[in-house]
Amino acid sequence: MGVSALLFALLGIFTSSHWGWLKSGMGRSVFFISLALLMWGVGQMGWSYFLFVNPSVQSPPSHLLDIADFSAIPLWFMGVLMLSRATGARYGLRTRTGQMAVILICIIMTLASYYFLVDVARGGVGYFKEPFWNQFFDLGYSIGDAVIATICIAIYILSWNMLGGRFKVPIIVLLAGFIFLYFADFLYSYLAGRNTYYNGDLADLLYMITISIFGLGVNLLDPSRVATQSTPADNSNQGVA
Amino acid sequence: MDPLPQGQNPVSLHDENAGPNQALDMSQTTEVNIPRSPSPQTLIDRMLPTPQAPNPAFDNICTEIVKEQSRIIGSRLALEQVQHIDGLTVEPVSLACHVTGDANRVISDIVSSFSRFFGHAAVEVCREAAARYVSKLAPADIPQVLRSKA
Repeated sequence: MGVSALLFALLGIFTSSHWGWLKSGMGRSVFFISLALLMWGVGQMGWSYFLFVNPSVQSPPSHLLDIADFSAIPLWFMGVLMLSRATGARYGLRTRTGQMAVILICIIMTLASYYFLVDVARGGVGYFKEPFWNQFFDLGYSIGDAVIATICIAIYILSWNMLGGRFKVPIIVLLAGFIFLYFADFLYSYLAGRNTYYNGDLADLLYMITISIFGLGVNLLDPSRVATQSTPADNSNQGVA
Repeated sequence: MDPLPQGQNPVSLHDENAGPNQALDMSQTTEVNIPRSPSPQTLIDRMLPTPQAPNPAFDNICTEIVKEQSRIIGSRLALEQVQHIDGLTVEPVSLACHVTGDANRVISDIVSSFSRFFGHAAVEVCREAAARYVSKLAPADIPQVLRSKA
């Protein structure tokens, strides 16, 4: 899983070069999402190392790996925000309906995330008696996932009738990847909280699917496959007024 | 038409009893001015909309659209999308545009090119980028593709 994440991350960073690296919104988006994938892959590679060193321990006792994994959250957050500019989500936010939809999504995701991440996964408020760093990495990672998933849902709803063209599907694939990540992290927290997690279980399958979706998404965002035509494009399905 | 039998006079054009093969008295014809059909090029020119006169505002509109799109997709890609549009010249470094053809068609082609990437989202980006200069145009001069939906 770590190797896959690293490979997809390197391909994604290379793809961002086609958008001008950090000089364009899409370039920054693809770069930060791929860099986050790289950091996550580094964390997973470290996890795999400890697994080979001591197979009886399912979760490595090193917060260094947690730091590597956790650093992916702000990078993914920035990548998703940069992506929202290309999707036209800000235009949906100018309408009263769009604003109400965002508020509703935030409320629902906050309540649902608290229920799933604290009550279901960690047995309720009793979890807050755990050591600080355990709480920080557990909840911080989960809260970060919840925030990113909320933003992704909001972007999708706000750009519902705006997004089109060649890169509609890759962007939706990327947004779906963050939803999968949210559920993968929830399932891991749930299983780890009950000491029933083992390497290679359903949570790892969800992580592997998530990594694959991210890899597919960032590499489908390669603009070099868009042919440059001398005549105007056909406007029939692209919403041109 | 059968040759006129000897002794028979040509028939008037207005003689309803004249046979089909009888010679006609052409001296009774009147001149009718039939207008010449316009040439095919003239017919085509009449059907096409009147091209807009050169206006620096259109240069500014195109420049702002290309620059705004370059902030999203990068300068190289933005330039690739517009450099083949007929009637438009783009300076590669500054992305300054000059419209040499029909402004309506050029701007429509620009927006169409960028909409291939992100669909209607790109169209809104173009409208927003051009808004500052569009507001200075007369309503009749605003390109159709840049007009906001009512």
